[in-house]
Amino acid sequence: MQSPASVGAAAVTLETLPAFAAGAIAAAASVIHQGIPLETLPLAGLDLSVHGADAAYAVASRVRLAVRRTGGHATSDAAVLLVSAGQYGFPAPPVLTGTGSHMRAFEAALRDTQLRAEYGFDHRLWNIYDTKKRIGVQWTTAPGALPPWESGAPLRAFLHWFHADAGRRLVHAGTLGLAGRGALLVGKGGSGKSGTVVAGLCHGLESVGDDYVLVDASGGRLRAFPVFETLKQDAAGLRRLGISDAIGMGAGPNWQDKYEFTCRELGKAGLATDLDVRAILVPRLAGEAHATRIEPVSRARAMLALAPSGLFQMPGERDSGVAVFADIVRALPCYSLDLGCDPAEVSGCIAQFLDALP
Amino acid sequence: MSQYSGRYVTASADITFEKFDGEYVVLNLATGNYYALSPSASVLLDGILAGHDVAGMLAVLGEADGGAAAYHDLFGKLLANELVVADAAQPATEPDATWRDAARGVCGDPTIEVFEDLAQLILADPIHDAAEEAGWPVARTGR
Repeated sequence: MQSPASVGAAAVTLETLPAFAAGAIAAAASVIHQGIPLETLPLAGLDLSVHGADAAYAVASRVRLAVRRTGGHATSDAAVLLVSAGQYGFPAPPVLTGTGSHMRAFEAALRDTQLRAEYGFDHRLWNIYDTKKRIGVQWTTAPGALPPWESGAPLRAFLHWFHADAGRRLVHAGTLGLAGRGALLVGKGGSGKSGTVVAGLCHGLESVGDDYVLVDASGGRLRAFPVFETLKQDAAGLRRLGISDAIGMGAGPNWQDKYEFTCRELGKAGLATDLDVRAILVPRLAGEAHATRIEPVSRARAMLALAPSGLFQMPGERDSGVAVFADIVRALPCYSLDLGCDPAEVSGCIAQFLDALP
Repeated sequence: MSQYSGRYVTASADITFEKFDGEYVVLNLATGNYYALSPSASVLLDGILAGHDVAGMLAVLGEADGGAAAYHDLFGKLLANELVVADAAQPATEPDATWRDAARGVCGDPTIEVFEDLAQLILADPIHDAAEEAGWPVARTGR
């Protein structure tokens, strides 16, 4: 059995990365097998057991992750250990050195292994996952010493690696649906995805998420599932949507200067359990004087809006991701969505569009 | 006579491409840059991927009004963006009839759009900043 202390080299290089990652997984497995569960999270397509001593993180994860109400199975599909320096014999996480500045070199070092990893320089954070053992470790310098985006999308790297290995994909998209049939809203940050999703939720539409959703193309259908409960809007967006009072702004904005909230804070039951995806919408802010318009757009434009941010925001799995995103684009009709400024009008237009989908 | 000739190939395994209804979307997984080729530009990339002689292709494509300069400029951009490189190891083939028919049927300007907005996300720079536009961490500038 791996001793946690034995993976505590002061520095890791690309050459030592595979052995270091394998050692960290072995050490995490030895802790997990001692039985220190914090939570078992029944998520879409994944029952994830979270282990460790950071109860605050586990509670925050339960709030932010889209946990299915039905409960999980007795055994989990994957396990992640949350560990900080000094816990369970783990030393301080080592520094990554000598990488140059290129993430592809980092990924290439693990390409022929069953291991996946990412390293956060600012926080000396290691996320490491073994795709065969389905064991991961989030190794920090101290409890809560995490990047600011982690709170809104906890454990995202592990979810990405687990689902990619299973042929599913976390897709950078918002979603809106009606009666179970829906559309992916794709585009980079600032294109209007989140605002449109929240507007739709406020006006009777369904959604499985406003930023990242799980897409499963198996079985001849393309379905989207919620991953995170978190919805986001800046202060101006909250005022425009008329929901500033509903969600409360006392907690202050996140690292993006946006306020995070959930469906339930909007007085809704919650995100939909899934959507049958029938179209891609590429939103664009049209300006004050325009009514919302939905018109066909080329698949190339849809691919440009869908793929790059999803590929480059997530650690690894980029080569396989290009083909997955291309398949999604080829499977669906694609439309531009020129957004008007009235949330009710935007939502009504999208509702009509969704209702007319085959 | 074209300054470009011979066989060219995609510059590395990091250059990935997908074609949708005659238009290529190209992603450089190493730099984070991505590209959109118009249908008429995509014909040239089709020929490059087929191993056709670039000089021969440029001659065919140059038969249209303004075609020679536009396609030379396009090929220069493919090179400048390090999407293709010369392949001296393999002989080029002459453009075949299928490709020639496609080339003579093109219309519209042969353009390549270059998108560099996500390039910072692929850099494992030791220092990162948060950028609202990107939605996730990006490399901090000014360092």
